[in-house]
Amino acid sequence: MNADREDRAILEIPFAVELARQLDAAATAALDSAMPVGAHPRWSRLLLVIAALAVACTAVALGLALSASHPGSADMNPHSLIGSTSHSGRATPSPTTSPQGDLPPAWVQKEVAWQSLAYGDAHPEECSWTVTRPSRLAFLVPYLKSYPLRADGAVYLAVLQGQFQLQGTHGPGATRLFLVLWKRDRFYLAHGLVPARIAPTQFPHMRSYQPVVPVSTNVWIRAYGEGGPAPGGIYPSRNTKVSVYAGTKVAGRPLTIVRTDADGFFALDLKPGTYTFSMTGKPYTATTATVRADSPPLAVAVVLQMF
Amino acid sequence: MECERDEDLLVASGERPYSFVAFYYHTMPGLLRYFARRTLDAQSAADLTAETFAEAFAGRGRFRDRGNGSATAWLYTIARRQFAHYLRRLRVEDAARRRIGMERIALGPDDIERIEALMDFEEIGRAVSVAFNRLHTDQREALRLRVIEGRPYAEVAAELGCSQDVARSRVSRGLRRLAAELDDEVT
Repeated sequence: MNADREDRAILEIPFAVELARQLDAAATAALDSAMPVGAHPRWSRLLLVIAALAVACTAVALGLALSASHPGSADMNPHSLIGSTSHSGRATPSPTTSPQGDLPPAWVQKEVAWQSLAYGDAHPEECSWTVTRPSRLAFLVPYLKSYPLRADGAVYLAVLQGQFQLQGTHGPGATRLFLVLWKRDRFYLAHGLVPARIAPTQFPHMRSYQPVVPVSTNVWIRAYGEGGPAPGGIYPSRNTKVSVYAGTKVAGRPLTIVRTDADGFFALDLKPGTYTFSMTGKPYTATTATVRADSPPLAVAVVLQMF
Repeated sequence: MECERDEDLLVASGERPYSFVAFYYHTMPGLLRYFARRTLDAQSAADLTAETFAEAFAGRGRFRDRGNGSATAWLYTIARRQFAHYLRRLRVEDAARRRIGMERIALGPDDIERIEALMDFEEIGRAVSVAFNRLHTDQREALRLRVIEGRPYAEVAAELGCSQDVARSRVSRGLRRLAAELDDEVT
């Protein structure tokens, strides 16, 4: 049993689980004591955890592969790479065009572009977005009606128009994709395909722009944690080392090790072939993907499932 | 927020207490192993681990990031202080746990087996044997059956003619006494 596996086994013994629960409760109490009057009670946070886990499980069941990237740092073996990854470790994205229109913050643009790519459209037609309250999105994601965000609980709603497909499926897909992002801590509250058009009257102040995938490399890695203590969610794994292996296994010496940037992304070029990506030292986060010649950038997700 | 550096998690936990739980996930296995190998007693190791994290949580605002490794060093400073107190008093403090509303966690048989597996009995067996004869007869017999022969508690209890709880208690007390007497050698 290697050290990682042994550590995970320790964290699964009843004592460790109970101790984590008690610390989580202490964290909740500490947060509550700092919450403004009128903030959501503790039970609603519990509901959120359940809801977040349900969403996570659903996403896994649907075969969703969340992957996004952004320039990051450091490669060990640049000869195995091609393209724009530099020795300094900063994979410099060089989009040929700039997004046009009424733009949201840069980090929202990155999330939008990455999700669009992950859902199979490298050139989405348009993205409409606004800042709103989670409860106003209950028609789209019912559990957001009681989402326990505090006074700073504003969220970004982004709705993309394009041709989207769940990864690994071959159905008709959908023409709209939505994202709900917590403004303050920049993590996903929800995302998915929109079954019907969202009436403009629901959000009269929505702005729009034409998104652009901001990388010119052929692989866009996104590392994130999923689940974890309340309020749960999908968190970017910042400054995280990701090992890239040739083939389908985490075995032998990695081709390269990259470090994700402050938003959890890294862009790099790889020759066509099959690669396995995992957080360094965490082989259970491995995901395998195939890079093909002349195809849009590959969105790769490296996911740490948190207890 | 999931971060890789323990230092970032600890610093962030000042404003976002849930970051401390992520820090716990990173460091708990090592700390439990640390205490298990020093106390040679599952319940004491568990209590010390819980108390150390409680004290760290309560004092997280005092942590200062002084580079990689400083979070672990800070945690183990608390751990060593807790362990020194344990050796002096042969009991684990619970002040920090009470302060933040945590309760003592009583271990089940599964916990005990798993934590004892961390103790690396083989390595410490030699040192333990030096002081072995100083123990009371009932504790020595319980240790012989459980630790030296590695027999399950059901068999230990049957051999000693007592309940499994009593057998566990004798093993626990015997190991704790050994740990105290072998302070330097074992720890």
